[in-house]
Amino acid sequence: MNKSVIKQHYGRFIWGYLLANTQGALEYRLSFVSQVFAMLLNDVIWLVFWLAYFTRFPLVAGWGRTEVVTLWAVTAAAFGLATTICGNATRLASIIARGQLDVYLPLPKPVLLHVLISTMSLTAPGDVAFGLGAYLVIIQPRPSQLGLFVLCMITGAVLVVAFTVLTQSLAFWLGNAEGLGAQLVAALINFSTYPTVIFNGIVKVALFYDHSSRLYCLCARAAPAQLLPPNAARPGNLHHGLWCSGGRRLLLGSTPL
Amino acid sequence: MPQVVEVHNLQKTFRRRVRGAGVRGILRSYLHTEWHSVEAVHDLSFAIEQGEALALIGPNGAGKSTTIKMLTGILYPTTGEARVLGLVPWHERTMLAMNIATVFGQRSQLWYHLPAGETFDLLARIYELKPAAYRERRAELVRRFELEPLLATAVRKLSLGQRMRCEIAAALLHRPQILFLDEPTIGLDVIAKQTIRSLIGEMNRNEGVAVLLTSHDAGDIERLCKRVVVINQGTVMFDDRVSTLRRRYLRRKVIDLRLRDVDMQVPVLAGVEVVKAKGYGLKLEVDTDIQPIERAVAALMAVLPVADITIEDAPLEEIIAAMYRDQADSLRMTATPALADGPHGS
Amino acid sequence: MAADRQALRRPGGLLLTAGKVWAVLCITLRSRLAYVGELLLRTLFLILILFTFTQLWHATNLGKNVLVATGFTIQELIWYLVFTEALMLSAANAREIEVDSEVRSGDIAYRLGRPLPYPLFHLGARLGERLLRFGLYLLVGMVVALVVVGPIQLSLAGLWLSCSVALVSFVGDWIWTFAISVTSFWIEDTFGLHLLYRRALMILGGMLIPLSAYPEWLGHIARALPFQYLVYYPARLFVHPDGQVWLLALGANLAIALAGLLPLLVIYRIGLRFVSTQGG
Repeated sequence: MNKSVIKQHYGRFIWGYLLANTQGALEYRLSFVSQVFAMLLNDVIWLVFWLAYFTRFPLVAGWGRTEVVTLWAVTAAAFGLATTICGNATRLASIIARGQLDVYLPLPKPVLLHVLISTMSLTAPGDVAFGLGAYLVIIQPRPSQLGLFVLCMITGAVLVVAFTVLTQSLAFWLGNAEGLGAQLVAALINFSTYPTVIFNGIVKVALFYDHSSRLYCLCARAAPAQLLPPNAARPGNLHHGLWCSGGRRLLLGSTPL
Repeated sequence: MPQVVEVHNLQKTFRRRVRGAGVRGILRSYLHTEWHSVEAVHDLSFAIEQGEALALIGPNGAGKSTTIKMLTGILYPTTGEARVLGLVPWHERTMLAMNIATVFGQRSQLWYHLPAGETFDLLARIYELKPAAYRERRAELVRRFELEPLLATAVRKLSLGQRMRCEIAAALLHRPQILFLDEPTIGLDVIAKQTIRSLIGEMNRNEGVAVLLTSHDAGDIERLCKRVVVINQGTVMFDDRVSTLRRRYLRRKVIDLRLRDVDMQVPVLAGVEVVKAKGYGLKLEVDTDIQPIERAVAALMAVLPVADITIEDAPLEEIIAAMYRDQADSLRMTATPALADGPHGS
Repeated sequence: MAADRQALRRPGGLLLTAGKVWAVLCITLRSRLAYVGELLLRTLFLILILFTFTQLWHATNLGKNVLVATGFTIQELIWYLVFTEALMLSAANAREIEVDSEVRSGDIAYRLGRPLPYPLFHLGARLGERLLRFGLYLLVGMVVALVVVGPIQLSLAGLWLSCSVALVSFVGDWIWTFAISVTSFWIEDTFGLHLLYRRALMILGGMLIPLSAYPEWLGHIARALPFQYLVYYPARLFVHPDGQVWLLALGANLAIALAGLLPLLVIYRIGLRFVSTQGG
């Protein structure tokens, strides 16, 4: 089998699971619809709060409505996309700890991919809907901006999955790493979700020289804040747009808020 | 003897949504919901006398658990009546709860991360036992159920058999008048099953606690109960003494042999049929009316080099199938004259 | 028929029932203490949140701005946040509400068949867990606040006033949460409702910043709703103890709890008829 055929197969494999998961979610309609709407509303509430906050107490460096909306939109959409397709990412630690990997190991598909895509988070479509909706309605982007938004959503989603897999895999060494994995991801995201201008001193050093978060920050920076909004922040200011794509959502999803 | 449980025409119907097939079918069911009802219990009537042990047996989905849940007041029936200790369970659940106990074989009432003793203490409070009486009762149960070495261990570290002993002891702390046991031996190995059976039997005889036990294991019934009710699809198929059940439907036993040698000549015995013979394995079915089981075993042991032997009852499904055949037979007998006239008349 | 009603044991009165709830509370505490490590791990997130917001409040000059309007210094804002975070993080999140999973798994069968009403059993269990977490979070939060912004003038009176209101608010919060949970007897999933209730508590209750620091329009909405009494008021008492505010907060929380009793009982009574547990 040549490489392109394999790729095609993977595509069909992922698509197949996505379809089956959607079908499964639709079965529990009340549950599904209510979860999607609740998540949508939840995101809206947060956005409203932070919009209100930053309007009343603006950052010295200038942090406006457009930036807040864009970041929330990309963040939610990226996280939503990640957990729509890879719903098991945040459950990986418990799957490993309970020996449920055994179910996937004998099957003729890549184990990690198979585990990740075999469940869909029921709330995730709500996040995607919120992200796209908020961006379209409030920012009213040009087509080129929308294209960039989608690109950021996808790269953000890849990052979310990658980091979650990394931290949840601690379960291989620690046994019960569910709590720790969730908290580590939450920690990482927490630092990336607020404007870096707010951090100073040793934390800043830790943030920017820690390998993984630097990678994360780089990608986040490449993402939307400076590029998408019509009146983008000054591109020279590196710290500026880091309020970014990954997600406060990840935090909210994995911690008892 | 007064009756502690009376059940009249009890019926429970669950409503389930009909799920569409495929995405389109599912979406269509969003607009128009179809329900279909599942009759878990259909017109059930029976009674239990004080101090009696009754087995309620039937295959999976026969309505056994649903019946227990109705009799303990957890589920409301769709129609029908029941009295337990003179109370209507679903109306006087809390008062009833003080006087009965329930053990579900597939669930646990013990606090998973704590030693069973802690749950005992909690139950003493919940069932309002006086401290001195509780200590005495607890010591007695610990001795009988041999729990001493288990009491200080967190429940999650106990084996299923050990845990089940703790579960039943916990249920008996408040000296209930009736003990409901839903599949108490499910998942246990042979030894643990026997232990549990003999403990339940002992409590039934010594303390006069009435026992209603559900099972799909014919072994549970024979060793514990004098009377048995067989239900299938929510209806009573049989309600009589266990000895009657045995005589009528448990006549046939299956003997499974493992031999030390291959291709042995099997002795010809009246009422014994070879079901399967392959390699070292040999499976025989014995009609115990014709050939008592102990004679059959003795005869086989005398001739064959037996390495291992197990004797089993016919599976429950077979017994129920036999009951259906009997019912159909008796129906045909009463219906025959009318039928015989039919074709000619028209 | 026969069994003699007189010979039956009856469940005891109010005092005995309260004793049962207390016993459930205690056993839950002990059960949770078996996993102290996991509990401590959860405080990691609390520490991070406190740290991040400290930085954010500084960066946005929140302290300076708010001080003018409401009299909270930036230190007091952080101590306020310590208390609200302990309040909110100690509650079960929308994914770990037990009633739902008990209905789904059928474990509810045991709990319903006891001479202790199921809601009261649940009250004991939830309170036990919440008190433990609240105490732990408050302690850790106070240490973090000490390190990050230094001490403020805390008084024992403030601790007592705020914690007494918090305790009553736990009961009120539980009553409403349970009322939502019980709808799971007939709707498949109550996650959405729980999520929105908790979010309303956080945002409209004033978890991140005191209501007085809200923009006018949002402040108006928040002040018209009861969520503030469960979050804003106890935290405010923690930082600024005041006897009259305490009376108001305590009364409001009692009213919230009492107001929740009726819907809870109605939904529970109706819900019981709909129970269809797993397994034939």
